[in-house]
Amino acid sequence: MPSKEIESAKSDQLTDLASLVQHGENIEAVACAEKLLDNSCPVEDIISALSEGLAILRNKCTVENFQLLDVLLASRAMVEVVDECISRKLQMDMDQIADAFERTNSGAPVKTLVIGTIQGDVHDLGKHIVATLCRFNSVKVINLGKDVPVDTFVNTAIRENADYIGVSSLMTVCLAKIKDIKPELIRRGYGYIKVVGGGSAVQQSSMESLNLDFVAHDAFDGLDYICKRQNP
Amino acid sequence: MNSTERIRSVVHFQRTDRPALVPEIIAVAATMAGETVRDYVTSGQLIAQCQINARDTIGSDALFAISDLCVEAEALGCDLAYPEMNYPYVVKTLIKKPEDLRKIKIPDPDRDGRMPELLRAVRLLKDETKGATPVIANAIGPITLASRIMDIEQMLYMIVDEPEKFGEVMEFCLSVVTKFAVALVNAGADGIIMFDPTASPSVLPAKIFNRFEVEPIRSVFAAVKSARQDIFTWYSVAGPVQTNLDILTAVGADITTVDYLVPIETAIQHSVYTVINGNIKPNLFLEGSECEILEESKALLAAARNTERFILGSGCEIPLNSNPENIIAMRKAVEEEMETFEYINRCEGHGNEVTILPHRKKVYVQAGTTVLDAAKTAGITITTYCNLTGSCGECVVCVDNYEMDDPDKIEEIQLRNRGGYPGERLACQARVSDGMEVYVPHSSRMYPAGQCDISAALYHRSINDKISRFGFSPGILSKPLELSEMPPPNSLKKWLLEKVEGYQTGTAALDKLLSLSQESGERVFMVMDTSKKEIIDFSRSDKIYGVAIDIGATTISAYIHDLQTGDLKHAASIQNPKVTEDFGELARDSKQLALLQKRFFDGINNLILWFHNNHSMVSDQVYSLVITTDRLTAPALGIHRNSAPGSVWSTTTAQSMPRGVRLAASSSCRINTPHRNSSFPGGSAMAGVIGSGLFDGEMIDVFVNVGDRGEVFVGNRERILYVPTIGGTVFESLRISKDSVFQGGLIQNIAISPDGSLTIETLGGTAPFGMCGSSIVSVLAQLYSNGIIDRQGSFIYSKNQLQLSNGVFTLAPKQKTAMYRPITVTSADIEQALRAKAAYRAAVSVLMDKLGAKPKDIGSICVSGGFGILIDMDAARRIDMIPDYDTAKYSFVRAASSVGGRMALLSSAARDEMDRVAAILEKIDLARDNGYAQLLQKLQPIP
Repeated sequence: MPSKEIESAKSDQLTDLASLVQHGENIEAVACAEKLLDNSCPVEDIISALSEGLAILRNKCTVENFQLLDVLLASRAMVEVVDECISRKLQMDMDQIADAFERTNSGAPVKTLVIGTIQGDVHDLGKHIVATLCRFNSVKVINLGKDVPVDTFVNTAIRENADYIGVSSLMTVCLAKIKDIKPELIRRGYGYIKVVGGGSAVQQSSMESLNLDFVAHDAFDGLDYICKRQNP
Repeated sequence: MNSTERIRSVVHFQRTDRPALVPEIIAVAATMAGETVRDYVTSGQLIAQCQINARDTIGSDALFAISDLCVEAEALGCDLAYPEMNYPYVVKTLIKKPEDLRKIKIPDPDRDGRMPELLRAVRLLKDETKGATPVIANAIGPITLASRIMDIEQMLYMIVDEPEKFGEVMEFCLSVVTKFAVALVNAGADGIIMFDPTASPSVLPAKIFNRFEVEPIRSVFAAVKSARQDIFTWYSVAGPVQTNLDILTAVGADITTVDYLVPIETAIQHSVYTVINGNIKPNLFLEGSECEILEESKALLAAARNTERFILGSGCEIPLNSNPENIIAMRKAVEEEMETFEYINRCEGHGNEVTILPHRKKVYVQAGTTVLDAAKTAGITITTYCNLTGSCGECVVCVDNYEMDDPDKIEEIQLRNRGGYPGERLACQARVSDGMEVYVPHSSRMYPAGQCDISAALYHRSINDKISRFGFSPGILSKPLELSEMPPPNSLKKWLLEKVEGYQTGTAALDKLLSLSQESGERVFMVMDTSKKEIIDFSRSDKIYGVAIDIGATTISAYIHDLQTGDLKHAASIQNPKVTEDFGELARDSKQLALLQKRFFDGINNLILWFHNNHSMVSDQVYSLVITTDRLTAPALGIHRNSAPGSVWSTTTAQSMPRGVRLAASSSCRINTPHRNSSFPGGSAMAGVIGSGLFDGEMIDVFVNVGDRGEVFVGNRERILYVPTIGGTVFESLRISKDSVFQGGLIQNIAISPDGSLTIETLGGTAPFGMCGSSIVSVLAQLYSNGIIDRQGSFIYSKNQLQLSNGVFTLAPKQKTAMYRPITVTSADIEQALRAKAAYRAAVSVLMDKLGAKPKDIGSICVSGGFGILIDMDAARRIDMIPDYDTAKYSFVRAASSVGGRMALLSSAARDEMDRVAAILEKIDLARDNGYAQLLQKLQPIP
């Protein structure tokens, strides 16, 4: 095949990959990525195709009608492409993949996010989606899981030199604990670490009353805040 | 009224002495009493004690014998953690794959986990209140239970990757929930509330909810209702239910709780048969003040003044540790509401006096009440199928000589399409005026089953004229048989066949007769198939029903008729599963086909069972079914073609349905479906032809069926030509929001003033939701006459056209829509619509040419749309979608295929007529017709 045709076939496949990710077709997406790698397509191109797929999906989501399942399935497809295909095939470890993400995302400085569901709450599906989305936007994510005490948030953030703490809650009764994070950071001299809240309970309250720097109305909203904000 | 009477009245949409109040007080009852949550959720005794205490403090109208949402999961073997001051939660899930379920037993409510404690709570509360306050118990939503026993993320993946396997999990969860729910009812619960947080539209897309959760919920509710008839069912779901209104309509709960994300007016407006309970932001109980709650509650009560279907509540569980004063504020709001002028005016002697004729019932209602609500207050239910949006046109009443507001555009079109008789109004749209008399014709009334005493000559109005052409002969008859005369079993058949000369009968029917004769009672009823001359069943009741089902491209609609009187009992529609589940054009392999088949019949059963559950009809009394659908779908129903020569009708019985299909009807139910070879336009289209009432004279008639195949028929009683056009596909697919085929908020008309400002009219007058295919007709006409598009459909840009930019015309910006998404018309939409209208118009021209017909030969031109579609005939003529002739008669028939199907259900002569028409039909192939292609081009611009 002349090289021009190969190039155009490749670009078709990248478009396919974006569309497969958007539709959450994990198995087909992995197969498509494998084919691309076999044709020595650069990792960066694949990653930007993944991001493109997600970008299309995000345009379908509104704050009032967030397509949780669609986003979850797209994230799964992306994770599988990266973890099952790229890292296995090219034998890249997590750091190398993170570097590739960074290169693809035009070299913006990597930020660190410590994320978890507040103590007393075990709903972590939404938080999990945010963590995945952040990872694909070159944010280093330390996922503390669910039922996380205030001290663990603060200690981890300080230890990891984090830029952000992401805290979620679906239970109104747990909101009181969220209020303690920021004052504790300030008390220990780390007031510059921004605390971002999310989840249906947090959204009922306000930044001021929860001592938060930002209340995210959905996963993309939180992602925007973390990625677009200038570093202090 | 005590609280039980009050809640029961509301559930029956009847007036109460004061607004009902039920905030969701669960374990906040413990924190109010200074108890720990852990002690509360583990002791039935403490639940009862704290609930009584909370009721006495707050003055709520219900008691909740409920601990938390992990009871079922724990009884199944999940490990829970019990925090002292929070609800227990699952620490270890139970299953990874459905096979794991095989080792797990359905819990015994008397023994396993904390189930016995909850039964105890119900009994204690029941003893304590002596029936004065209803005791509500919880049956968890089946899908929420699934998300407790397995990881929710894994569950969502299973739904998508292996839906059949997930079906197994759901079946299991359903058994668990049903068994416990029935035990709670038997322990004395007055109501069953189903908390179903996982089913929230924030988590589950409508498609999945409708496929996996609707039927299980209905099944739990049906089980508790059959355990005790007077139980009331209650569904509580969180999140923006306006994105899936089936939650309000298809689930079929007596009461539905919606949370603060749903404007209460939206919930009330989009539901017809359920009481709405709600809704205050939960966090306000923690962080807000007494005053804020008071104001919020007052606003809710004021918004719900026009309906009896409202219970003030929290919409979500009241958070633990909430300040009791904040909850008491809700009761204060109720007290203040009763002091308001508007509330007092609801009572007799105040407000507007309205007399409902011919019953001469007088009611007093507040100004601004709809005629429909006024009639309902008088205990007279007026037929309506369109969620009060004005789109079904069934609720016609006569209101001569009273000063009223003029009808809005939609009502006006509806009334004009009906013939524009003076004094007619739509009861759902017209507002009362003081002293008025409203005549409610029989045809607009919905009668509860068993209350009909009207002769068979009076049929439902919209098909009255047409069906009287064929007479009333449904082919199924019920006749009494005195048991005292019955001989011994061995001579039974002989005796019977002597009694009913010329008839046959089978052993199944005879067995039924024998078993009925052994019960007490003096007589039974024979059910007879008069066309086949067969006694098909025996029954205790003389009731016989028939259902006309039309499976359209987007909607399945069902009309239930009383076969003794011909009266319409109920009509409802659901989405075609082909649309919701992406079956594609049609399922290809046999497994998919079987699934699709099951979905079709599940849908049909749903529609029948809705009536079964809500009225005193029994699905076993359904003895006749007419199913119409398109040519491609008919084979998917699994009904084999067995029509007699010269007939389009294939007939089968419920007994001989394909494997795996069970019909919610008597096993001897007759199923008739028009079904024929490839030149046949399909049963729906045929029924449409009959339903249009055309083609019975010498004049040439034109019938345009805006359905999925978009057929155009031109002809007279001798010869009818038809073509399928691309028009149907375009109109049906255009802008129809797949999640909302038939509900309020669809844009019907727009008006543009010279300064460029835009007014849009929607069905029901609610915030716009989307645009239906047919409204593009009005929109096109408006855009053209206001100079926004030219004849070719291209946008004309001008300075004061703010809504227009880059080939997109914004009808409603996202801030103004119900979905928070802008509603737009693009140049591509306009081009498509112009192509569609040209397709119809060109087809009419070509067919007229082939028949040698001139404009003066045209008698009637009729357009029909689907269940919720309304086409403005004037606009359709203006944009030349149909020919504009001065001498022709124009009419619009809503869902002509359903009308035809109902006629076939009620009259064997109508079925014969369909055979006659089928014989004179000729399909014209336009694919190779050059003239047609050129005509399409030529007719595309607006004249």
